[in-house]
Amino acid sequence: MKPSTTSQLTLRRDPVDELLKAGARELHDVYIDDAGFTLRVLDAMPARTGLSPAIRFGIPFGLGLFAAALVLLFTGSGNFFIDAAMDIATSSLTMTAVVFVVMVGAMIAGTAAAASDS
Amino acid sequence: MAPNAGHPAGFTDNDLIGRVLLSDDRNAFAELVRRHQSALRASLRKMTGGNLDLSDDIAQETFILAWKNIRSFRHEARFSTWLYRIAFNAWQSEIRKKRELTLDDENMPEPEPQVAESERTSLRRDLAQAMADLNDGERNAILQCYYNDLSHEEAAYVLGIPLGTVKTNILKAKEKMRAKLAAYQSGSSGQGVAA
Repeated sequence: MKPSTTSQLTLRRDPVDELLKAGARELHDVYIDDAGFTLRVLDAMPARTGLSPAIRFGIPFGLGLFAAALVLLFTGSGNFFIDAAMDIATSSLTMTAVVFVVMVGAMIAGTAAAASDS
Repeated sequence: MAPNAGHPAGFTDNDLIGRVLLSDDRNAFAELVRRHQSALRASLRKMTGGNLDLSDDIAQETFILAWKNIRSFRHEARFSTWLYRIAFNAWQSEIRKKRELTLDDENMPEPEPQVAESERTSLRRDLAQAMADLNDGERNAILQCYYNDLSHEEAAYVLGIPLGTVKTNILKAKEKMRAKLAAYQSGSSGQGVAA
């Protein structure tokens, strides 16, 4: 067995690799004092993290779908959308048309509000 | 109140993240900031060429973005790696903003006197000289893998590029640096590179 394996490895060391590692060690050895940094971050942080985007989108959609289901249930036989479309097309101010418009408007407004980060 | 009040060092990052997720615990997040601020700020100082104000601004922005988006942290990487990713994107965004303001490089961050002063050792001088000729991709790969101590996979995650590109950039960077260092070493005695 060759006794000089270690020294051969040493000789084969990449000088660039060694230099970079030494530079990194030097960098890691330095601790940057907090000096109020954490407090500045805390001061600048918004009050709440808020709901996740998926939930913010999901709530208005879910409520809209739930409302649609209720309307379908109470207006009978699933003709709500057809009736509403007919009423709107003929400019009839029926309860069905009003409920439909309010429902669609609420879904759009809710989704737009959820999409905005405010 | 001290930022780390109520959160002894025994808590892991994941414990603290859990507290933030459960109850928007600002003290838990403060402890995360306290733990990671030094490494992140040091890394950003490297990225910005020693611009202390800019690097601290980006570091602060990074932590605020982390606070806002912590629900999107999926534990697919270490928390520190996730922070480096946010910081790198914030830095890239800063560069783009500066480029939009001016097409020339006059307003690009330049190394500040603090760095020049610290470049007394030949090690830093050689490194700075050798890295000066790398392109952005190569320099970023070196910064992430060596200075931030990330694996190639983690660097790919931080930089948002394929793993193969990271490996290629590292190889190319080291090749360039090797050639550059050899040139410096052969010419340093006659030309006085350290001057």
